[in-house]
Amino acid sequence: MNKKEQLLIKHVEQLNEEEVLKLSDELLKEGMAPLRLLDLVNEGMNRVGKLYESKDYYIADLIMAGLIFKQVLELDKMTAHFRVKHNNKIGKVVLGTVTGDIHDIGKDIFRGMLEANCFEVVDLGVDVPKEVFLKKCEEYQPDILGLSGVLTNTVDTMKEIVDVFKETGVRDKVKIIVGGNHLTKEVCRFIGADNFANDASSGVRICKKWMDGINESERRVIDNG
Amino acid sequence: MNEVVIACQTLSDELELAMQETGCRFPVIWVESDYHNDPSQLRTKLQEEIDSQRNIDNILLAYGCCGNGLVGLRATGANLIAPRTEDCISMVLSQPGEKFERLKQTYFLTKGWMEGSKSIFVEYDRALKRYGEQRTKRLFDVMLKHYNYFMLIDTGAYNPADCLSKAEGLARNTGLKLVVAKGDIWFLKKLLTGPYDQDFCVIPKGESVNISHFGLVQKELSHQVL
Ligand code: B12
Repeated sequence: MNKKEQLLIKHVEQLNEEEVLKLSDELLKEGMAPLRLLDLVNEGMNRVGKLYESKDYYIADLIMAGLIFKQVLELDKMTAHFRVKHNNKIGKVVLGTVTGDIHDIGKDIFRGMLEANCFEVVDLGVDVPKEVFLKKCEEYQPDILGLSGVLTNTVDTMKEIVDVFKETGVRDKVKIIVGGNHLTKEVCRFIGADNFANDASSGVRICKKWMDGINESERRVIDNG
Repeated sequence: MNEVVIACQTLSDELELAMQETGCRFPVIWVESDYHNDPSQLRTKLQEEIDSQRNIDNILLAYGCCGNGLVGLRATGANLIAPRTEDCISMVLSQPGEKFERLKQTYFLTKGWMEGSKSIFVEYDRALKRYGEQRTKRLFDVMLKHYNYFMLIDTGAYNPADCLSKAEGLARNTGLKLVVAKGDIWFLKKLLTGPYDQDFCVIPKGESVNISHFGLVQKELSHQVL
């Protein structure tokens, strides 16, 4: 990793908004691949997460990291890159924070990571009831449904949502991934989801793997770098 | 029977009043409020405290499930007893026998929440210092995007008038409305006196807390009476 790359990670870690944006722009102009840039920013975000865990950082800092991430995605060269790729979206995800919960920092980060990885995301926002998930899935026919939540009782709510998909006979039309700090393999099985993630990167990895499977049978595998 | 209470500092006013009103003077181990910002660290801390108890029959936990912070705890040397409730907000706002529905668009305050060393007030002041006024506004707009109210819960354990001006200040700075609502300490009183019925998770010595104890999964498994 060269000096500038290291510096970029450092700026993200230290939440230097302006410096991150300036340096990102510079790196892109020098020819850095957008996905490489995102990897670097992501590494910085992971470090912010660690600093939050070690109590050096506050909630406002988590939010600052999210804002920086979002603005990097909105840089001209980034949007241009993703626009070119527009017809090559690798999959569609309907995403929302489940009823009763209005925490959305994690959901928004997951959404950003999905978009950066060429997914089309329909974000339903927070406190989304099961009927709305069902209706929007009928409307948008996504490959994947993503349910987010941090409150403990979202386990029950997530199960209710999966159940309503079962009851209406559409469960096998969509892969379901649930995400949140409190989820475990055992809880995921109880909910009836296909998989779960405690962090956004592994969530994206799972979704990409699913799409590889789905896309392989439907069209040629798209090289998403 | 030898009892000890392990309690979150956030609930100190409420627990002290509950002790006064019930006449129970069990020893209390106070755990810093900060831990509730990180359920895994909370779990580790509570386990340390549980493991260091000697000659105790029942450890009473003045905690809710707290983002699964209690799930996974092992009852190593004594039975564990905890209110079967989501967190301390539902603990002081719920009514006996009624299903509690948390109000949406509302951030809850008690004196205990306001005094935490990482409270939303500390967050705000720290953000001002680190990011300046304009960025702080941006950050709090995102943080509280889905919120319209601050609700100061009058649990009876402190004088709400003492907290009003501070709460009003933050409400003004963040564009939220401050409301005051009545809360209760029946849950904490019952934690001290029993009976340990379906309102409680009772984990006999040797077993571990799992999510079913909080009635969040497989409700029928959830209670045993001591
Ligand atoms: C930040 C935060 C807040 C912020 C939320 C800002 C916002 N816009 O979201 C504020 C301060 C507003 C807030 C408010 C409240 N909070 Co809060 N909050 C937290 C805190 C500290 C961190 C959550 C967070 O954002 N983490 C950072 C993100 C990045 O992590 P994450 O959510 O896990 O997301 C990652 C992964 O899970 C994954 N992911 C997320 N979603 C998805 C979805 C999919 C499909 C996939 C694959 C992956 C994925 O990717 C993300 C990035 O890696 C937690 C404690 C904790 N550490 O969990 C408490 C916590 C969740 N809050 C809690 C409480 C009690 C509250 C309040 C009730 C407090 C109050 N006094 O009123 C209110 C809610 C009021 C209401 N009416 O509901 C409790 C919940 C207890 C419970 N019942 O389960 C917790 C556990 C703290 C505690 N122990 O007290 N909170």
